[in-house]
Formats: sequence, structure tokens, C-alpha cells
Amino acid sequence: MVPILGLASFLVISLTVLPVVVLIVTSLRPAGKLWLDDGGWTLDNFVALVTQPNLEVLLSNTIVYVGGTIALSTLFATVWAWITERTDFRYKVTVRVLMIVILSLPSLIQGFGWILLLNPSNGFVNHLLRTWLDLEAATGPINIYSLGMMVFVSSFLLTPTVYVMLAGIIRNLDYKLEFPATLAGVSPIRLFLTVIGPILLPGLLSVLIYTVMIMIQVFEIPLSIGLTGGVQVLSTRIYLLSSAELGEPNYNLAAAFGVVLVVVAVLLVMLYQRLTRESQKYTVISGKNFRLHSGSLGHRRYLVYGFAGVFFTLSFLPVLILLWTSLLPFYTLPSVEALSNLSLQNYVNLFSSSMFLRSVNNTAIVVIVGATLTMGISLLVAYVTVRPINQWCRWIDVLAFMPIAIPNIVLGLAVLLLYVKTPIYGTIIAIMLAQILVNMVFGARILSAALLQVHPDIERAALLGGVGRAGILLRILVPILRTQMFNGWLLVFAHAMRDVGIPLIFLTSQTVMLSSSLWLIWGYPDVPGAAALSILLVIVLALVVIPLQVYMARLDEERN
Amino acid sequence: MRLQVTNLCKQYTRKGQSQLVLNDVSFAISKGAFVTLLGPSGCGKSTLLSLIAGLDRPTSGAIEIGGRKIFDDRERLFVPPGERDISMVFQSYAIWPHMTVRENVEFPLKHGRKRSTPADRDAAIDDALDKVRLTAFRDRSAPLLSGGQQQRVSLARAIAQRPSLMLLDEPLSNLDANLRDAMQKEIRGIVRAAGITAVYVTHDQKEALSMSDTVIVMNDGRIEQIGSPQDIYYRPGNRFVAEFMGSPNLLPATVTAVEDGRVRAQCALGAIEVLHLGDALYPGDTIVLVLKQEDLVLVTGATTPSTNVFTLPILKRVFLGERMELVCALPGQPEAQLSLFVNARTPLPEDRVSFLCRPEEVHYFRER
Repeated sequence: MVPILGLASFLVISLTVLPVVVLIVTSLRPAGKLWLDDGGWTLDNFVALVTQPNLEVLLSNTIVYVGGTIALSTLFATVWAWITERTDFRYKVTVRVLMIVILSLPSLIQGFGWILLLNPSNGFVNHLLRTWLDLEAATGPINIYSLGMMVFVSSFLLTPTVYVMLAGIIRNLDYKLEFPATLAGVSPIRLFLTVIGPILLPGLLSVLIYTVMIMIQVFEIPLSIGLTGGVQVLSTRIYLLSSAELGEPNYNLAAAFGVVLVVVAVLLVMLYQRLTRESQKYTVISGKNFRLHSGSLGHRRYLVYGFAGVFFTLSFLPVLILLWTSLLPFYTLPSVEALSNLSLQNYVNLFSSSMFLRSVNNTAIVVIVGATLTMGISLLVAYVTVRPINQWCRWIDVLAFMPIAIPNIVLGLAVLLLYVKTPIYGTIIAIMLAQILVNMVFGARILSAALLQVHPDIERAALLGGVGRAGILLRILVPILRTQMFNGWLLVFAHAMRDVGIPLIFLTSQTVMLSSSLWLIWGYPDVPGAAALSILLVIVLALVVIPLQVYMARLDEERN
Repeated sequence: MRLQVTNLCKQYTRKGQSQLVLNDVSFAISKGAFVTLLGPSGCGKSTLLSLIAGLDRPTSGAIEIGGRKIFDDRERLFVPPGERDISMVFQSYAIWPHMTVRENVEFPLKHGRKRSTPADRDAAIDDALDKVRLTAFRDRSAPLLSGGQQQRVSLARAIAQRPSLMLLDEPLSNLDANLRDAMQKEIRGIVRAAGITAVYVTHDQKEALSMSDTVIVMNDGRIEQIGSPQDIYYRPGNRFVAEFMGSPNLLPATVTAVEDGRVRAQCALGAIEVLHLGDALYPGDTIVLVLKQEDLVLVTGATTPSTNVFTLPILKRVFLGERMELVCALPGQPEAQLSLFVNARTPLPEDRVSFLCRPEEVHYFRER
């Protein structure tokens, strides 16, 4: 056990703790000095952070963006969770599968699609509206480059995540709890306020905090839509400060921003863990269940069909417009006449571009090797945290969980600062290390949840036979957990594939990845080329992720 | 001695509150014996087992297996579980689900402490599977077996390692009642045939009585009594053991005379005569009489008053299948009752029953 604990400690400290320490040190160095540079200590960066112009705009943008998106997507998700869990709606499984499909679409691609649909001058929807409503203006009526539309677009992306969590809570609620009250004639509203509500409260609050953690780090929509519209939020500000997009990077100020976000993250994680611990007190929300008969929708089902039609059309419209664009030599509004110009030339061009080929190569190496290493490290971390032998193991748990709330862009920056003076900087290894740090959280969560299901006696039986810990890990736990290892691997694979922020921070001509080359091609601007690459990415992700997710959703369905 | 446990204590401290789950436990087991740790849940028996196995660390005391010290707090000695030469059968079976029956048995032999040549290994596996009658299932995937079969795989795996000590932690409590009875005899037979010293944990007194050479009754972290099944059942040393082993009639009595190997005492039934156990007992001492319900012999016909024959009014009859329980009122003690078992087919008088308790069948103990 001791060597395993040592290895896990080393990995967690070097991968997670060290970059964050470097981030803090850099934020306390004078401008231009990195963490190992001799330059004394200063609080100037934090002073600069507080006194910079338009700070209040940045903060209010972030708050409106995060709060608005959560509010809107919670509304959508609640309606869907109620429909699929508590009514006799016929297409429940279809809704679940579609939600998962949306979840697997890369956000950057969604952003590009929405820009093609809603940009003020030649957005397809704007064009249609102008034609139908007989508007004189050359632009509008909808402007995608605004805070309001960012909220609207992001809420479609967040809805599946919130939906999955809310549906789980509603599904696992023990209906035995409401049965006695219903039999006693308590009205449904009173029942909700006095019985269901208080029981669900800790779970709902933890969902809320989790979504806040996700939203603070959402980067792709603010990048693709917000930057063009001049709407900055915290994550894009850090990106701008730490990349060469707007001239020389200011790592020290970026680090100061990062430190502030790390503090927020630590507070959120502590709150989250406190609440999830609270919710475990309500042990009734688990175990065997019998289901109350579902409420009948009746004629309201037509309303639901309508909602479903609008919701899922809007969710998939961005991909459809990208597909259309990718098949035309230059961006053309969809029309019957344009059909004659359809060709695959954009895809052919892609495969003759050296940057594209290099990015395919880099992405394949980083994503496949990275996902494999991530799962290996996650297994070690999950093992020492699920079978703790001392207090230190619980600290490893906390330390390995912390990155969940720290924005990817901050973690990427921290890793960059750690390796900027080493040969690792400027290679794809740096990207891989940063992504391992980010994705370890998901791998470790999946594996520790799975490990908790493995009875400790399974290991003890081997332990008493004199089998070493490494043998137990490799020959017993890995084979038992192989399904979860594989699922986790696919999840990490998909995360790494979709990630834009880290590849952009580490972007050089040598380290270009599929996602960062997509951003470059879009920015040339080569809109049809970017559309073709988007569609390729969607296809690869769909081939890998969707069959698996559908299979898991079916399993859940059967179990209930 | 195969297993020697000396002054073993285990204390858990949680949030500043400490709890003594094992309090100064000492006992010894000779080679080849089948010993049961018996007690209600929470008495510390499973903790004791995990301390012997090395899955947890005692607070103080010493443990020796086969003359070799494996734990001693004064020498700071702690032999890790893998080096103690112990095998264990778990309540949860702990069958490795990704392996076949044969692979489950083979795994510790192949990757564990005692690695042997493939030929020896095959012989040990075949022998163990043969003993638990699973040879036909050797290539079956382990999770596809029934609960009883899985527990036999677990047993085969434990035997095949030829340990110097085998631990069984409530191995039958997940099985249904009929299977449990069959498995009790089977486990006993297999372990005896293999000649392995075994420590068996259970909360079921029938299981303990039918399987063990020695029973160790535990309560609240302490050993209450160590003895043969007959000792524990017929000659409980205190109220806890007596009540745990089938709740016999316990009647407080005052000694009136001790003579000729007999003790005469006064109890709720009146004057009673019991066999003297040889302890120092004087008139005026208080003792507790143990009257097993099944030892009380029904006296029919003319009831002539004689020694140890009593007549009591019947309060109620409870039909239990193989016997009838008669619950009788004790004179002058409205809250106390005395019960006796009779054959359910025996014709009984309506309201009163006379019975004899043989002096040699009455046990007594003194309360501390």
C-alpha cells in the first residue's frame, strides 16, 4: 500500500498542486518575472487587477452570463425532467438520447453555428426574419454578438447537463415518502413544500453549485461569440492576458486573475462537498423503489410535442447550418439554387493542408496517450481515496477534486507557467499534462464511484493469500472495473478532443491541435473550411461517444 | 498452541470519543480445533477476527500463530496480513467475478505468498475442488453459481492455500435456512478432513453448538465464557450466556444446606435439591438456578409430594410444532413465569401441571 500511496501522492502533487503553487508564486512576482526568476515579491498584480478600467463591466458580464444561463437552462431542464420522469410522455428515451447527443457536441462548433445563423448582417435566421417581416434594415433584427444572445446560446448547451442531474434526483426520490401523505389527503402543493422540497433541497443546491462551477469556466461561447462582440467574461480575459492574441502576454496579471478564481473554486468545492455530505444523511433517496403511476399528459401532450420540436430544432440547427456551409465553396445562404454548387471540395482541401494533417497527428497522440495516462493515474488516486489508510488519503481526495472548479484556462495557464522555461514548453507534452490535470477529476470520480461498489472483502481475500497491492490492483480490480475504465477512457477522450482553451494557450506551429486549428481556420477567415472541420469533429465524437452513451442510457432505463 | 491471543484490546477514537470494542481478550486454540466466536451483533467478534487476520491493528496485546508472534504492541511488531499464513472465508463470499471457479482457487497459489510449481498447484486445486464437490463446475464463471456454490468456492480457495489457520466470518448468514443447515455439516466435515485449525464467527447459537469443538461466547467486547458446546449450553457461567443460549428458566435461590454432594435451596418453587458443583458454597448464599425447559419431566397420575416435584397453575400453552411450551405461574411472583416443554401429543390436565426436575440436571451459577 505504501508504494502505491507514495506514487499517487507524487502524481497528485506534481500534476495538480505544483502548477497551482507556481500560479500563486507568479502572481506575486513583478511584471515580466516568472516564478523562478529573482525579482522579489509584490502585490502589484493584485492592485492592477482591482484598479483596471472596466473591472465592474467584466464582473457584471460574468455574473449576468453565469446567472442567466443557469436560470434559463434550469427552466428547460426542469420541464424536461418532469416530462420524462413523472408523465406518460411516449418518447422519453428519445429525449434522453437527444440530450446526450447535444452533450457530445463541441461548444465551439455550436458557437460557430449560431454565428452563421444569427450574425447581424448575413445570419440565415436574420435573413429569413428580414424577408418574412419585410424589414428595411440591412442588419438585424437579432444580434448574436450580445450578452443576451450568449446567455441564450449557452443555455441550450447547459440544459442537458442540468437535465441529467435533475432527472436522476427525481427518479431516485423514494415515492414511499409521498405515498402516506397522499393517502392522508395532503394536497400536492403542500406535499411539495413540506415533504418533497426539504428532502430534495440539499441535492438541488449541490446541482446548482456544480453548474456554477461549470459555467464560470465555460470558455468556448465567450471566445467565439463574446470576443467579436466585445463582451468579455473572466475566462476570456484570462485567455487574452496569457496568449499572444492581443500582443505580449501578461502572465503575472493573468496569474493574479487565476488565483482569484482558484479561491472562488476552493470555496465552491468546500460548499459542494459539505452539501453532498448533508444529502447523504437522507439515505432514503436510494435503494429499491416502487414507482407512483405517472401523471397523464392528456391533450397537453401536443404542447409537449411543440416544445420538443422547437427545443431540439434550435439545438441542432447550428450543426445543420455548418453542414450546409461545409458543402459549398463559399458561404451562401441556404436556398434551392445553391444546391447545384454542393461539393466535398472543402473536405478535400482540408486533407491537403499541412496544418490539418499535423493537427490530426498531434490530436491523436495527445488524446489517446493522454486518456490512457489519465485513467491509469485516476485508478491510483481513486484506489487510495476509496480505501484510505490514513488522513493523508482524504487530503489526496480533496486535492484531486479541486481542479473541478478551477477554470480549464486557469489550469492551462498554471501548467504553462510551470514549464515555460523547460524543454517541455512548446511541445504537445505540455498540452497532454494540462489535459491530464483537468480530466483526472472525471476519471477519478467515475472509478471511485465504481470502486465503492466493490466489496472490500474482494481485496482482502487476495491480501490474506499474500498477493501484493500492485497485484490486487492489476489482476483483480482492473479486470473487475474494466467497463468503467473503458467508459471513463471514452469520456476523457471526448473531453480532451473538444477542449479548446488549453490547446490555444499552448498554441505554436508545432503544437496545433484539431480544436485550435479550427479556431485558426475560422479566424483566417475560411468559414467553409472551418465548417468542414467542425463536421469532421462532430462525426468523430459522435462515432465514439453516442453509441456508448445510448447504451448506458438504455441500461439505466432497464434498471428502472 | 495454534493460536494464542493475549490481553488484546481495540479502541476506536472518532471525533474525540473513544470506544473500547475489544476489552482485554485472551484465549488459546489448539491445533486442528474448530472454535466458534459467538455473540450478538456488535459484541466485537468480527473485530477480533479482523485483528487476527491483520486487516486492522489492535490497540494493545499480542497474537501468536503456531508459536510465531504476529502482533505485539510492546515490540511494535505487526506482521502484514499477507505473511500470516491465514486464509479467510467471507460473509460476502468475496468471489472474484471475472474469474472461473478454478481461477478463483488458483489465484492466491499463483500470485500469492506460497507460490508452488504448476504440478503441485494443480494437485492442490483439484483436491480442494473435490473436497467441496465442485469439480464439475471448475470452468464455470464464478458469479453464475448459486449462493451456496459460491460459498463453497470461497471455502475451496481457503483450503487450497493449506493455511495454518482458517478464519470464517459468518459465512452462512447470506444463505437461506435449509441450505444453511446443510452447509453447516458440510463445512464442518470439509475443515475436519483437511485438518485445518479454524476460527468461525457467528451470531447463531445453533450453528455454534452443532459445529464447534470449543465455543467462545462474547458480549460487549469481552469474553463471557469459553467451553465445549455442552458446557456452554448446560452449564452457563452467568446470566448473559444462559439467556443467549436459549433463555432457560432462571430462578434466584437461597442456599439452605450443602451436604453429601447436594445443595438444598429455597426458590420460588419452594425447597429444591440440586447437585453440588464442588464450589465453596455456604448456607445463606444466593445462587441462580438454571432449569432447562426440556429437562423438566412431566409427572402424571397421582401426584405424591416428593423431592423436586412441583405443581403449578398453567397460564397458557404455546404449540411450537415438535413440542408444546407450557407457561406456568410462579406462586407469589406475578411478574415471573416458568416454562417447560412437553411432547405436543401428550394429553394434559386442564389447569395445573406437575413436573420433576432431576437434581443432576439443574445447573446453578452465582451472580457477581
